[in-house]
Amino acid sequence: MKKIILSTLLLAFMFWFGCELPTPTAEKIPVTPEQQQNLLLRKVVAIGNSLTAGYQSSGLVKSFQQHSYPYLIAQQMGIGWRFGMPWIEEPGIGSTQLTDPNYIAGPLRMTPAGPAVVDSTRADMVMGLLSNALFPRPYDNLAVPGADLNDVLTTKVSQDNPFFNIVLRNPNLGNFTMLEQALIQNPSLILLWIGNNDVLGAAVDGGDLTQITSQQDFRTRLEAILSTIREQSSAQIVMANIPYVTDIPYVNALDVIFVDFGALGQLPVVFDENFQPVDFNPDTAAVLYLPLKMTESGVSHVLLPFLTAYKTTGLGVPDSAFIADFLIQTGMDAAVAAVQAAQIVQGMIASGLNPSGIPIPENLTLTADEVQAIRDAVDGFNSIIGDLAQTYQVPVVDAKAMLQQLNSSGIDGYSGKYVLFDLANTAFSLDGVHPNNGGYAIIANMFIETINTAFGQAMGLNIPQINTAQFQGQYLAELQQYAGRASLPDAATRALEGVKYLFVKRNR
Amino acid sequence: MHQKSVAILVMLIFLVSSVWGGGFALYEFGGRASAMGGATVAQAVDPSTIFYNPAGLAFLKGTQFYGGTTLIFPKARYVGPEPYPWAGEVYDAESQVFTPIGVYISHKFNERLGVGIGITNPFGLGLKWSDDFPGKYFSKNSEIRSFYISPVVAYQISPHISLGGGLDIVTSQVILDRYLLVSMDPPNSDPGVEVGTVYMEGTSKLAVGFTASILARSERVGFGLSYRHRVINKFEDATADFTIYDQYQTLFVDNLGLFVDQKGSTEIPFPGILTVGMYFRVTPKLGIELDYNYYTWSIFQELVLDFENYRLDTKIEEDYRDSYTLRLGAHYELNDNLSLRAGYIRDKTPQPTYSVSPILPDNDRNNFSFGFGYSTGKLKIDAGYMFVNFGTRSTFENGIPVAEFNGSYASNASLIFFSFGYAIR
Repeated sequence: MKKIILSTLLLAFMFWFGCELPTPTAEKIPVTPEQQQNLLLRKVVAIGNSLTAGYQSSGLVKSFQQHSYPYLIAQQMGIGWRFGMPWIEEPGIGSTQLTDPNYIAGPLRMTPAGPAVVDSTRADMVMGLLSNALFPRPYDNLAVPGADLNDVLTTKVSQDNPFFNIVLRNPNLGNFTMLEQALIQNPSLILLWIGNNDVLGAAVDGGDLTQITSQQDFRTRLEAILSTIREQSSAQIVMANIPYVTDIPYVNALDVIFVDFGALGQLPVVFDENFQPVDFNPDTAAVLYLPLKMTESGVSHVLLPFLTAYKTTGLGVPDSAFIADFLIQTGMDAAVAAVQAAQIVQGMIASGLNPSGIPIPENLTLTADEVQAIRDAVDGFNSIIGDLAQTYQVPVVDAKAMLQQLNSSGIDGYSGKYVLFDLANTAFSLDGVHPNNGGYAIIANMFIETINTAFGQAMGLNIPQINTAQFQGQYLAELQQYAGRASLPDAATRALEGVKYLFVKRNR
Repeated sequence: MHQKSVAILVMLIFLVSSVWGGGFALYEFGGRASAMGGATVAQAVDPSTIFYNPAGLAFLKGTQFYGGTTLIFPKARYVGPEPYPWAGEVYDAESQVFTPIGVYISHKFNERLGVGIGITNPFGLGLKWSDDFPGKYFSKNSEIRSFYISPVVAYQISPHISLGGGLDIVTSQVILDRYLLVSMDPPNSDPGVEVGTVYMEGTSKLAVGFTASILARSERVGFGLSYRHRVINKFEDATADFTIYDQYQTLFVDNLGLFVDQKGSTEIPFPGILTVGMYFRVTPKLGIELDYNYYTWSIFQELVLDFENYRLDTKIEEDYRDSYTLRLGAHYELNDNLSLRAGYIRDKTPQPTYSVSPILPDNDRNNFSFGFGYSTGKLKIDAGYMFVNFGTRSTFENGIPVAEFNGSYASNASLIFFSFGYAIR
C-alpha cells in the first residue's frame, strides 16, 4: 500500500517538475517597409513655443502655420493630411499692443512704408478665428507662442496669453498640459524645441537679466519633460538647441549704425534713411559722426524697435547741449562747439531729424555685459541640452550653428539680415526674431536631416528635403499685396516692438 | 476672453477578445474516473456517475456518499512577437490554484429505481497575468466559476439496461479585470494610452438544463451514452467598476461621462455534451474503456457586452467550432483492496486561432493521468494525478498574425484529485 502511494506521488512529481513549461519561440511579424516606417511616422507631435508654432512677423495666422517646421516635416513624411494644426484664420493674431484694448492686432505685413500692422480683430471674437476649434482630439502641433519650459509642464489655461487657450482648449479638452496632450495621443515621434523663451525675454527687453531661468531650473524642467516622455511613451524624440540672441536681427540689425570712436569705443550714431551714418562736418575731409544719446553706457546693440521711435519721435537723436559736450570731448573749444552744435541742430531739423535729446531707454539697448550674461546663459542651457540628450538618447538639431551660419555665409541663398537690408533674401520675418517661410523651411530641413541620420537606417526611412528656393520673394509679394494698406494708426509707433510682448514675462 | 465650447469626440478602443471558452470546461469530478482519464461513461462504479452517466445510478447499491475535489495548478507563458512590439519578451502567468468539487449522494429505492443528487463545477478556471504583461488590456485576471446542482433519477428497464436523466440547475460567476486603453486618433495612436482599469463581475440568473443517458452492461462489457444539454447563462446585473487615473478624470469621466461605474449584461453559453463509451473487462483484474465526447461549442458564435453607456457596448465574434475529446482509461485490480488506474486524453480545442487570447489561450491537449484506489469495508479513497499538456500555440497562421493580440503561448496544468466514498447503508 505504502509503495503504491509513494510511487504514485513520485510519478506525479516527476510529471509536475519534469514537464517544465516550454518557452515558445517568438513569432516573426512580417514587416513591410511601410509598417516599419510607420513605427516612427505613426503619430508625430510637436512641443514648443512660437518657433514651433510657425509664428512670423509678430503673429500667427494659417498662412504662417502652413510654414511651421512641424507641418512642413509632416508633409515631407507624407502625413501632412492627418497632422492636426490649430488653424487660425485671417487676419490672424498678433502681439502688437493696440491702444484700444478691445482690439487685437494682426501680424505685421510688409507695406511700402515698412513693416506695419494693417488688420485687427475684436478681442471678443478672437477665439472665433480658430476654425477647427472642434477638432476632436488634441492638436499634433501643440506649440504655444510664448511658452517656456515651465509652461510645457504646468500651464493649462492662461489669462493673458490667448495662445494657450487656443492651442490647449482647456478646460474642455480635459485640463491637460501641453506635454500631457502630446502623450495622451501615444506619439511615435516628438519634435521638441523649447527653452528659447527662458532667455529671449531678457534680450528683447533690453537686458533684464532677471528674466533668465536659472540653470538649475532649466535642467530640472527639461529633465522632467524628457523623463516623463520616456516613462509614459515609447516615442522617439528629436530636440533642437538654443541660438544666440545676438544672431537675430532684432538684436543685430542696427549694428550697422555703430561707428568706432577709438578711445570712446563703438557707439551708435545718427543715421539717415539708408542706415548710413550722417557726416555733420560741413567743410573738411574729416568726418564727424554724432553718437546717439543713451541711458546705458557700454552699449553694444540697439534693439530693432528703436528704429520706429527714432523716425517718429527722434528718440536718441542728440540735442545741442549733448552735441556741444561731445564736440568739446573731441578737443574743440567750448565756444566754437556751442556755435557748431547749434548749426548741426538746424541742419538736423532741415533734413527731417528730430533732435529730441531724449536718451534711448535701457530696455532698447544691450550692453556688452548684458550680451555676455545672456550668452553665458544660452551656453549653459545648450550644455544642459547636450547632457540630457545623451542621457535620454535624443538626437539634437543644432539650431545655434544654423543661425550662426545664416549670419555669416547664408544658407541656400538666404541671409540672416533684417528685411529692410535684404528684402529679397532674408530668412527672417518682419519682427526680426522669427524666421519667415524660407527660414522655417531651412529649419525643417535640419530636423529632417537629423531624423534621417538618427532613425533613417533602422526604419528604412529617407525623408526628402524641402526645396527652400520655392519660398524666395515672400516680401516682394507682400509689398504688392499690401501696397494700398496703411498701418493701423495706433500701431504705427509700436509695430516693431510688438514681438517683445510675446516673450517678456507677465504674471501668468 | 470668451471660451468657445469644444465638443470633443474621443475614440475609444475598448479592447476585448474571446472570453471563457473550451479551456474552461472541466471533466474531473471523481477520483476514480479522473485517474482513468475520465473514461467512465460505461461503468457506473461510484456515485460520480450522477455527473458522468445518470443511468448508472440504477446499478449502485444502497445509499452512498462520494465526494472530493481537484486541485488544479495551471501555468501559462506568453512570448511576444518579433521585432515588435514586445520583441520576444517572456511573461508568465501568476500561480493560482483552483478547486472544483464533485460531491454526490445516491440512493437505491428498489431493484430498479435509483436517485441521486450531485454538486459539481463543470466550468471553472481562471488566469491571472502580471501588471507588466502587454496583454493586460485584454485580460489582467479572468475567472469563471459554475455551480451545477443536479438531481437525477435512473431506472432499470432490464437487468442489463438502465435509463437515466435529471436536471442541471446552474448558476455561474465571471470576473474580468483588465486595463483600459484609449486611442485619441485611431489607428494612428494605436495602441493608445492606458487610462485606468475596469473590474467586471457578474453572477448569472439560475438556469436549468437537463441530462439524459443510457447504460447497458454485462459482466464483461459495458456501453454508455450520455447527453448533457447546453445552458445559457444570462448575466443581467453585471457590474463594471472603473478606476480612472487622476489626470484623466476630467476628460473621460467629467466631460465625456465615460468610464462611470455601471451595470451591464451579457450571455455566455455552456455547450451541450454528448458522450459515448465502451468498456471491456479484458481479464478479471483488468478493464479498459474508450470514450468520446462531442461538445456543441459552435453555439458560441458571439459575445455581446451591453452596457448602460452604449459607447462601451461591445460585440465579439467568437466563432467557436464544435470539438471533441477522446478518452482512454484502464484499471487494474491489484487485490481486493487496491486498484491502479491510468488514462490518456486527446482534447481538440474549439478555439479558432484568431480567438486565442490572454483570457485563456486554449489548444489541442494531450493529457496523461494515473492514480489508485483503496477500499475497505464501507470506505474507499480514490486519488490521482493528471498532467494536462497544451503544448504551445501561436496566434499566427502561415506567418501572419490573425488575433487581436498576437504572440505565442505555452501552457500546462497539473491536477491532483482525491475523493472519499462511504457506503451509508
